[in-house]
This record gives sequence, structure tokens and C-alpha cells, in this order.
Amino acid sequence: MAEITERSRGRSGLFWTAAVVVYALIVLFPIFWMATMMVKPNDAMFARPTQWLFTPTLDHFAYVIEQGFHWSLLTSFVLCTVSTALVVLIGTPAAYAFARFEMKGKDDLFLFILGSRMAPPVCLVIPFYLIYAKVGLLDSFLGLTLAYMTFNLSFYVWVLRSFCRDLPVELEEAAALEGWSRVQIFRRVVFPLLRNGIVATAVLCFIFAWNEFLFAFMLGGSSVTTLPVSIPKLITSQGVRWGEMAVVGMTALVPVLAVVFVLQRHIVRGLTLGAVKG
Amino acid sequence: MSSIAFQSVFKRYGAVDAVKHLDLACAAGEMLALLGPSGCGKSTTLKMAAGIEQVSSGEIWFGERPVSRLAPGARNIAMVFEDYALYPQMTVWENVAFPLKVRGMAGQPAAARVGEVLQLLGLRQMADQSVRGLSGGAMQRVSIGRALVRDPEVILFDEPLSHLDADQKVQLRAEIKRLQKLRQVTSILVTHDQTEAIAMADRVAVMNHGVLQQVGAPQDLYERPANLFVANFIGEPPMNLMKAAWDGPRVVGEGWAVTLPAARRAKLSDGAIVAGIRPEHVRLLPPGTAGDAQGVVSYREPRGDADVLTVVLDDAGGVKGGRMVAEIPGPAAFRAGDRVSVGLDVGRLLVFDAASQTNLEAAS
Repeated sequence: MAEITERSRGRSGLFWTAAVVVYALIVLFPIFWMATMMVKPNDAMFARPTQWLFTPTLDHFAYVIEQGFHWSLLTSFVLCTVSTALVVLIGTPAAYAFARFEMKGKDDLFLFILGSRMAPPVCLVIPFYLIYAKVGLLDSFLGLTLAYMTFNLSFYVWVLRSFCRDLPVELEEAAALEGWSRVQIFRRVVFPLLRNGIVATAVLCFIFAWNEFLFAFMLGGSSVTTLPVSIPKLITSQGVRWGEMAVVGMTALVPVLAVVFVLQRHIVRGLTLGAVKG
Repeated sequence: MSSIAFQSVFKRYGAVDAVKHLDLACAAGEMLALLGPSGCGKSTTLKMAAGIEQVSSGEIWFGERPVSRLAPGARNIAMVFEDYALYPQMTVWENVAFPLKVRGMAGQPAAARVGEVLQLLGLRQMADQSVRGLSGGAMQRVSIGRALVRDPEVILFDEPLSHLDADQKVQLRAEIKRLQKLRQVTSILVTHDQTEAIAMADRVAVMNHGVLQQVGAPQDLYERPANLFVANFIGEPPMNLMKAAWDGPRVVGEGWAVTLPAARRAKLSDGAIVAGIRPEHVRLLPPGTAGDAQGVVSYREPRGDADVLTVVLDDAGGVKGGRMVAEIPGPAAFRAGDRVSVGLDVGRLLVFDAASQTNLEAAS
């Protein structure tokens, strides 16, 4: 009897594994296709019937570098890193304060913070543009950093507050009884327990910033060009440069995958709330 | 070790008074329990002693030292929490050593202290384990170890046994009491469980709605409750509290009556009263026997060594009979539906003023 259930469980396990593999193949196929496009010669790109075998070429890479797309990559990377670092630096104490301290109008303020995230970005980008034009932040690195920080900060504070709330307040009280100050408690008791939450939320902020197009397009564009904004430049008067687009697209994809892959453990633990409890 | 005294302490949250005019003292080396239903202000009182909550008015004294303006860390107290509040990223040893580390004590003397405390609590074998995987009882022992390790003036226990299994509860109860006596450390225990309070504390302070109702040895609370709240709260099954009236020296209730000795009656004022008698002081006799009331058993709850029976009393003198609960040695001879004669132990009968709800014989 036990043998039969064991075997049938093995069989259904096999079925589900196969189903997941098939699903993964379907989902991953466009990425595979993009990867082949990176090294496909132009004449084989849209050949009918599809040419599965072709002589790989590095022409697309050469063009992309020649056109200075690597500077956009660097811009994107620095911009997202700096803005996310600022978000963590400012947002973590803010989230903790919202979770722990009593203050007048706390709930209203908190809703207001989230409200800035609920508005469609298009509504926000116009005031941003007008303000930036006045203060001279248009098309500047600082301007974009501030914009990214602003829209990620609300999200970060919102998410991290719930992490903070999940921490048992008694841990902090116990530390206070030992004579630690608020700052010491925050640094040495709260922060270590929040680490997974911080990493998970910060990664999401980084990815939001990395994939962002509208703000980068409206507020930057010529001297500060992020990777997503640079891609349309490949739609040229001589036609769309698909191979180069695949190269840039893949370049945009890889860092996100790498970050998620490396920090997977933190993200999974962080996103399953309550994992911080002992 | 120092004594603790609350002097006219108030705690207000906006318009709500969580603790009202609290005057309470705990002698050096004593264990005092704060007992009451949830929301009675007992935890708030403890947190004010710890400094986690600020006093709204009044003063708290540790010995000769006023502490209400001191930060928690300056009070030299330790606390044991309901949820253990162990640092999850540390081992058992590190958790217990933490208070010493914070104070800059390290090396051999610190290690010796931690080792001694772990030994005392039987945690020696677990020293290097992470606290994440421990049972509730073990976690709470670690937490007690962390409290004991630096010989604080006062230890505050906030519902330390609430989340434990029954057997761990009994075990740890005895252990806490033993350690408290061994170290002679002044302690306050907050609990909603009277069994816990009575088992562990030297004296028990009963609170309700932020007001201290009575403080005394467990036996005092049991035998001479100051008011109806304490009478009802202490004891299991709870005391029978019944509307009654004076008829000369007789106390007449709904379907029952007893006569008080003249000397005792003389000391008691007239007026509407509530009579109280504990179920264990109610006797059930075969029907027809002379008693203070007659009635029918409506419900029997066996508890092994004793049975708890609810009796519906017969109407008497045109008054509808009330209910009375009796606890008698089990297995009881009576079943639901049996007629019984009820005898009350007059010496154990308590008389409360119906209006003020206070015990007319309380030694206030």
C-alpha cells in the first residue's frame, strides 16, 4: 500500500517537474532568442525559414561600443546605485520612526508618502520638469538621482515599516534596560535583524530605477543618458538595428539577474515577512 | 538589593487613566505579584518601574533613590519578557553574556559569571546553540539567565510563563521562585494567572481598571478579600456571591438563610449586602437532613479528587431560589437531578456592602 502511494507520488512529482520545465522553456524562449540575435548577422536576422545555424558575428558589439553605449551602462549603474544607497540611508531610519514613534498626524503623513507612489508617473514628471527647469537640474546626474530617490523612497519606507513592526519591541526594551541609547539600539539590535528586509527592498528599488524610462527620458536625455533611454537611438534612419538592440537589451537584463541571483537568499527570506522572529 | 515603592503614581494615555493613584511597596528581597485581568494596568505599572513607560505623575523609589526620571539603563534592573526577547542572531552563551558585554566586562571574570548562571539554570550543554531552535521553556530560562547574570537590584517578570506548556510552566515556576530566594533579589511579577501569583509570590497585589484593589499574602486574599472584585477574582471555582438581606442576626438570601453569632453581627452595619461563600465551604447533605437550604443538583462537573456541583435552591419565603456552587470531595454521591440539603460554613461566610462592594469586616 505504502509502496503504491510512494510510486504514484513519484509519478506526479515527475509530471509537475516536467510541467515546470516546459513552462520555463516557454518563458525563457524570448530571452534565448534575444541572445542569438546578439551574434546573428543582419541577413540571417529575419530570414524565412528561420536559420538556426549561422556564422556568429561580433559586429553588433562593435557598433554598440563605437556609439558609446557603454557610457550609458555606466551612467545607469552609478545612478541606480547612488540613488538606492541614498534611499536606504534616509529610508531606514524613517521607516523605523514610522513603526515605533508616536507623532502627530503620523498616519496621515504615512498615507501621503504612499500617495506620491500611487499617482501615475506621468503626472509627477511634469511638475518635476518644471521645477528642475527652474533650479537648473535638468539633464544633470544629481537631478536624476534625486528623482529616483524620491519615487523609491516612498516605496522603501512603506515596505520597510512593516518589517520594523514585525520586530518584537521587547528586544529593544531589553537592550534599553542594559543602558543602550536609541541610536545604539538601532545600530546593534534593530539593524542586524532588518538586514534581510533592507536587502530585499533595496534590490527592488534598484530594479525599479534600473528599468525606469519616463523620468530618465524627460529629465535627462542628452548629457545624462541611461541605458533604457539609449535603446531608441537604435531606431535609425537606415532602419532598426535589431542586433545592436539585442546587445543593449541583454546588457540591461544581466545585472538585474545577477543581483537577484546573488542576493536570492536575502530576498526570499526578506520577502517572507516574519522570518526575522526568533 | 533595594525595596521598590510606588508613590501616588498615575499613568495617563490621553484621556484614559491606565494606572490611578498607585501606592504600593515591595520590600527588599521580596517577590510581589501584580495580578489582574488584561487591561488592569499591571503591565503598565511594571513598565513604569522599568522606565520603558514614563510616569505621568507621582514617584517611584528604589530604596532611597527616586528613579522616575532615570533612563531604563540607569536603574540597574533586569526584565524577563513574555516573548523571551532573546537576540535571535546570538547563541545561548552570547545572550546571557550580553549585559556584561554592554557594560564592558569581558575575559575570565565575565566568562565565570556566565558559566555559573548557565550552570544554575541547567543550560550548560546548550551554551553554544543558537537560541532560535530552543523550546519555549529553554528560551525563557536563557532570558532569566540574562536577567540574573549581572546581579541587578530588581528583576521584573512580565508574564514570564504565559506561552509555556503546562509542565514547563510548573517546572519554571518552581525554578524562578528558587532562584529568586537564592539570590534574594527584589522582584515584581506580572501575571493574569492567580495560580502563578499564589505559587510564586510572597505577596500579591490585585489590580482592576488601573486601581489597586488589595495587597497581601495569598492566604489573606483568599480568606479576607477586601471587596467583591478580589473575592470573585481569587479562587477557583469562583466564590458564590449572592444578594442577601439582614433579618436581625440572620442573613437571608435567595432560598437560603444562616444566623451569625451575635458578637459578629453586632460589628456589622445594616443595609443591602452581598454574601460570599467559597464552593469548598458549601456542604451537600442527603435530602431531608437539616440544612441552610434545600435544592436540586442541576449540573455536576467531575474534577477527579473533587467534584463541582451547581445546586438550584428551592424558593423560600416567596423569594425565587438562587444558584449555589459547591466543591466537595469526589467522587460525589450526588448526580444531576438529585435533591440535596445544603449546609453553609457560617464562619467562612463573608459579608460585603452591596453599594460600596467592600468587605464589611475588612481590616482597613
